Amino acid sequence: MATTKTGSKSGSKKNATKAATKSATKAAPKAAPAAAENIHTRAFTASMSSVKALELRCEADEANLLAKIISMELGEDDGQDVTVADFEDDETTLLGELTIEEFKTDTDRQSIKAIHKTQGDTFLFEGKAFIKNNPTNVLVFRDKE
Amino acid sequence: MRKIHLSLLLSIVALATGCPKYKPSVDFKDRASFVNKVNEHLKAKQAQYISVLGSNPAMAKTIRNELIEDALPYIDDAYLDYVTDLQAGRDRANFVADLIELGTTAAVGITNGERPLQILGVALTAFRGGRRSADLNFYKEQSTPILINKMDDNRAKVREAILRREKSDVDIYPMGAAIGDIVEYYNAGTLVRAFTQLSKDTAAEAKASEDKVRKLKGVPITEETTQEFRDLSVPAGRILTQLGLDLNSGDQTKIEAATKKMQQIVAALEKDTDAAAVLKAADVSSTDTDGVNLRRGLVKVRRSAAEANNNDLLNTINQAIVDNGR
Repeated sequence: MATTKTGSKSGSKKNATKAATKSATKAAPKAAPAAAENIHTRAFTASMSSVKALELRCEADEANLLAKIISMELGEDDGQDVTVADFEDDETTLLGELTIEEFKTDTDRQSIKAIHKTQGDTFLFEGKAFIKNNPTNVLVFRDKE
Repeated sequence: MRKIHLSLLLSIVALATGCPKYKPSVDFKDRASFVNKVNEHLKAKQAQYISVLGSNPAMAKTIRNELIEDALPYIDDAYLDYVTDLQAGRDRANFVADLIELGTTAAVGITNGERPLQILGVALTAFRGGRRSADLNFYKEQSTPILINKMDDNRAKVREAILRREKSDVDIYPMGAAIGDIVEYYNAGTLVRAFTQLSKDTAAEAKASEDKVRKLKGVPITEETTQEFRDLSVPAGRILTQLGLDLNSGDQTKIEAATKKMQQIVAALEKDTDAAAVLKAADVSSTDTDGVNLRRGLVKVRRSAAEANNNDLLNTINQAIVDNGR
């Protein structure tokens, strides 16, 4: 199958079509209706070791849920700190890889966005996540195919 | 009659002016004042903390939390006095000049390093900030309840963060950060911070939900995953998506090929005891000749396994998809 990728994220050629990526990112809403049937809410551990680990987690979940990530925020699950991520069903798009970047200042945010824009990546949303139990600002991008 | 009018006028003036000159309860020249009380408390606890830090981190954590919880009532008392006077509307002209803000930046830099006790003193040495005219004008345009509400809101946010961080060990949330938070808690109850926050709230980029925490109940907490798990999940997901596209393409050749692959995937899974039980419960069988139905059932099973963090089942399903769905 021409559109299947089996290699690891770091070294593999991204081979889904551009059209698929555009379709995947175009409709990404900023906020998710949490109770909707087509939304899967996931609670990630607050002790996530790095932004890269969070990225792997999100990509695996997108693949296994056949859904695209639409938001990420801080939360509590039965009183325990978690990163809450919402995924919206999408069974018709061959989703590209994700890149999640940490930022601390508004300048960081603007420059990271600018860098990814020049690379042709698509900005999905801004959110917050717990990394090593610390709240962290993140920007989520869909990589250019 | 004139005497009556004069008496009435004097009475009104006396009542309207209220109490004589309001002074903030924080007097930095008084050793028994708020700042000195807090500083003495911090010094004592910091000494205890350092003495057990290397040998007993759990005890150090307890001391750190005691330091925080014992210091906050001092700040709450000062805040209560402050707000009470603000509500009474006493001496608005003077209190602006008496506003104070603690040196947050100094406190943030505190670590377990050298001369911590001296640094603590610096950290909680307040300075009287000169008010910018912009702040003064802003204040005049706001009603006191709005400002007090904003200070309450700011303080609640910092308090929430402190309570959350107190759960962390000392290597993640060291004494320096704890003192930084105490100072931040104080600053959150100042008009300076209320002005700043109100301005920020109205700024275009400010988000109302900035510090909100979403509450969940009973959602399984998901741990980190491995590169291997991700590298099997992603191609399996893409194969399943492609099969879906083929099944809905309207092209009979593609539909037949995709249906055959779906049957092969399910047949492979039926050989696995655990997967077979799940498929049976979901009424998914390789004898089904409806490819769309087969795929729908498999997607449902796979999603349920993902939401339950059943990685073993997911790996089994994904391997069957990769092996039979290409």
